[in-house]
Amino acid sequence: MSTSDLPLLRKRARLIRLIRDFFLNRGYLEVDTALLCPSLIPESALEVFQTRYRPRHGRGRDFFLIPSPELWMKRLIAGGAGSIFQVCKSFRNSEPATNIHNPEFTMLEWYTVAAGYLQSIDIIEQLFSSLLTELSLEPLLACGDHRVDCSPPFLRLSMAEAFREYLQLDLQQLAEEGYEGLAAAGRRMGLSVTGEDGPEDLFHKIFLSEVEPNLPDSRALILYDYPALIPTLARRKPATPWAERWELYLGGVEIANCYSEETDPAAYEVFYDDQERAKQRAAVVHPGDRELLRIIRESGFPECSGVAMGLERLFMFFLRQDSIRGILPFGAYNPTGEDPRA
Amino acid sequence: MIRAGAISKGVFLLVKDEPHVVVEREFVNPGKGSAFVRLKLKSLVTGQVLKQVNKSQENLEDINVEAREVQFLFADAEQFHFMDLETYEQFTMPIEGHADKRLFILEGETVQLSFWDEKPIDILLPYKVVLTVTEAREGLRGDTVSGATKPVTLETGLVVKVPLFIKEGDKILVNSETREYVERVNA
Repeated sequence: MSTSDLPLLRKRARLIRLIRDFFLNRGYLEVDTALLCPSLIPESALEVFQTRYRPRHGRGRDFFLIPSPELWMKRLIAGGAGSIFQVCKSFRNSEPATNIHNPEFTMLEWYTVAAGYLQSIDIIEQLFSSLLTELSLEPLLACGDHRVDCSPPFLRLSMAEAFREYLQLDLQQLAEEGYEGLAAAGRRMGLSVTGEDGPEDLFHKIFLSEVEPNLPDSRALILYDYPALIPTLARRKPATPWAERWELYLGGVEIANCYSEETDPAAYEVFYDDQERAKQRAAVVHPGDRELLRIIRESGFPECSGVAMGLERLFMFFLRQDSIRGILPFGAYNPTGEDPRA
Repeated sequence: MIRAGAISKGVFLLVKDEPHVVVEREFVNPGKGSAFVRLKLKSLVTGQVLKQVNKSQENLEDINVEAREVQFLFADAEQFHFMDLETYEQFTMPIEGHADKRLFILEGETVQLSFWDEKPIDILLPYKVVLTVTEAREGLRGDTVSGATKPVTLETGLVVKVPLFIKEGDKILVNSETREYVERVNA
């Protein structure tokens, strides 16, 4: 986006105001938490940005830019803040240079207390309805030439149904068999299976090669019940191999991610330990935020559901753009086209 | 070896003992997953297209390919015939897997060939190629819609859509990748 894109900038501002109004009208508290953190929730799949505080006197210390506002928002929820939302910048290092990635982007994150992931589907559908009505838009949104019907109810497809439909595979059985089952399925499909791959990598290789490219893309799609073998802070669906998690896809692009948030302190500890171990291999290693663990251990964590949504990706569809470049003011970096992680 | 995340279009890889060229590369970061690369590879032996997904960090076997300028003599039903410009030695490369390349090279022209293990494995086409129109119908009178096109046949047999003013005998520039008309280059 440049100064010649002022009409887009005005529409972007309008969309953000409408989103704020939507949540404020429903009683959510708007928060704006710190972007610069001394420690983060460890997530081995993300690379973060590191910077340094240098006082005039005395010792400096490292800070990290948030990959999402999850840490602080969870601290607020644990402290009794109730339902909250935030629109803020988030930062992800080593992002590839594509039309839907940028190292800095705008995140909408909201948490609804006393709710689970299914209630969050109702809320995101209401949010879309509200934006479409306020902007007097037909529900047929488009990203470039790609049209997506965004009228609620969104199409709902479970991950197990998707695997059955596009691969004739029983994902429940594969998930229960874990690494061995997934590796065998991957090899049968001719995929690369290496000793370095964890079960979640094998799952993603299978998903990305034959499932994701075939997902229905002419309607807004909620893909739900991800295998719990992907380590996340989503609560496990009782007596199943699934995590209570969904992703919203528009035209094949991931727009939002939602959990029924984990409430068990022991599950948080396991997640932190595993992710911190895996994180040792990342380019930037940061301390895990142990304070969140302490708070959850001591005062518990209320039942709630959180949704994180990349706003530039969402606005691509509301503003008929085929890239987030035109929507993120001055956000066009000059990436080389190479994946810097390699 | 090459990291999957460092691979770009045009890189040569050895996959299942066959040389392949990367024709498409896409980065994918599934939510809550590590970074992956989707590759579309074309076998330089059979022309078959293979799709694969690798983690960005995974090492793949790349092959060292040497490019040499050679003269294209002619093609028969099964082979391209070339001549080495230094030794005047003649040699062949199977057409299988490269049939589409025939639509962009002219007999007697100098072309770039990729060699691996002393064997020719691929013809490297220039991004844009000049070809002569051998068959074109007249643009219809009154057909003045801007952007209107018509199909014409080029000297290699390639058919492309061109603006209505292009005539038989015109030389045009064609994008060898998209097979699209670029511009008229009559001198």
